[in-house]
Amino acid sequence: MLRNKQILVIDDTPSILSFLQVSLEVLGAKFYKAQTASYGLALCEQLHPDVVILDLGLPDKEGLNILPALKRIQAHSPAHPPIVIVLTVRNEAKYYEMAMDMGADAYLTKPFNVEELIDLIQQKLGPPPTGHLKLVSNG
Amino acid sequence: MLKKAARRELSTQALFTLYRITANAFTRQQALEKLQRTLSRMLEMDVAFFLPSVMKPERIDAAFPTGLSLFDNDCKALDVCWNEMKTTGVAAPFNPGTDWRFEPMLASSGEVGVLGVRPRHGQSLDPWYGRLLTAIADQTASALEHMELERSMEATRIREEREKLRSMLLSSVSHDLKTPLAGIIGSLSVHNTMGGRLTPERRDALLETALEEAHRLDSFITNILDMTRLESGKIEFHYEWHDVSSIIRQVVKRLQHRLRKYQLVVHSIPENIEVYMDMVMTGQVLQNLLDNACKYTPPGTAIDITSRRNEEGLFIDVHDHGEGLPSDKLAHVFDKYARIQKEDSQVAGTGLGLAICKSVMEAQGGWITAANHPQGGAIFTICLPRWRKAETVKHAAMI
Repeated sequence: MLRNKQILVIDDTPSILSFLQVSLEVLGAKFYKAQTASYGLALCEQLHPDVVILDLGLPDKEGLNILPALKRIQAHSPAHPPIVIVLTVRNEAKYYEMAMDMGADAYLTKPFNVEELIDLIQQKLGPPPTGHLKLVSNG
Repeated sequence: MLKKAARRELSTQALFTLYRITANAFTRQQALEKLQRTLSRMLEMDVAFFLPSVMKPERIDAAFPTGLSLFDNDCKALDVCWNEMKTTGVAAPFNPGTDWRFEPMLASSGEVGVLGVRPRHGQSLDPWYGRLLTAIADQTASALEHMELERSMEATRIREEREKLRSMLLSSVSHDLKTPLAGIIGSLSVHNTMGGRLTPERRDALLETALEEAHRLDSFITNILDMTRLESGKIEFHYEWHDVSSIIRQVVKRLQHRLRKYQLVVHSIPENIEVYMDMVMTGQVLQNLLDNACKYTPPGTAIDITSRRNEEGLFIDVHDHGEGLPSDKLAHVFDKYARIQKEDSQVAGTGLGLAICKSVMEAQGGWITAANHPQGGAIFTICLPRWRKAETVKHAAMI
């Protein structure tokens, strides 16, 4: 599942934050939230989360404006940037294309079922690492 | 017969006048009306402009002066001039016995109409007059063409603006409807799929969120429908005398769920004062104002409701203690979709609430204003012009 995965949600709608927190925590993820783009970016630099869920219409600036900076943040070894999933009410093709061009890993439009988002996160994170199993077989 | 110098002067004057009139006119109609009068006087002839009928372009009719009556012969010459785009009538090769002379008005994009003149006092139309009339007809045609072009460019610009506004409105409305829906669907989907793994408190909280968002959605939809009805004049106002304090109490009660996070202070609301108004619609205005105060100010701050009255009317102030209104937005807060520029903003709303308030207050003969309070926060004031003391009335009724 999402055990110990750090997930940062940058969204300004309280109801969205609240049900995402409930569902992600139930699946074992560590949930972090930011209601502005600037705070979201700062938190991302500090936490190096595995996944960032990014709304586009944020109160201080456009979510797309921080997308390239989010993708430049390298974490872990080997270094990789966070998976960024755009989550927005905007369903026009132009926003989808802009977001994907700027490096978004996925684009999901609101409203959505929580399973859709979780499936997407799991799919983007890939299969869980098998290192532990290998160690056992070698032993 | 005019002398050479006088002719030159007439010609210069006529063409200059034509230029001046067409350059300053706002509409084709205005230009032609003025030209017809001025040229008649200047040339000392009857002058008329004929334009094709909008519905039947092959037919040509007197446009200026209106109601001009022509004989059969005149009509025949006019039709030939229009259909063949050649000079007809007096001193022209084709003259079926009319005392009019018709000059085709031809511009670069095609035929525009016909200029007609009828010489008075036995004036003869020699070739010089012919050339002058052709020049007048040509210039008028190109001026009209130019005006038409400008008009259609203006129409295109307006159409484009309207289209832009429509699409902005659509995206704003869809944002405002989808944001609460996302909260509802998301919360319920978590409840449905993971409910078994949640504590009862968390499950309740999800349902509570869904319910709150559903209420929000309902108020957006009500606002959109109200605005549509107000604009199409489909809302009928039911005026009666109502007690001011009771309407305020009702609205506060209706919003108690949202207002519990604020310190609501109701000051000096008079008992026994009645106002002539539509109770439901005025209640809606107060509700929108209080709703706005909740939306734009942090929880825990105060919201004051005050009432005062004078010979102008009865006033109700709703004063919040937030950041106030940005000074550059003050003048436009009541514009429809004033919030539209901010495509997705942290505060959900169609931007229709205040526009509805304004329409409702004005429909009742009152008004609404917005300002920043000297001590901070925004202050919205509504005024209803007709009020009375309830007791006086009862007393009067007894006599």
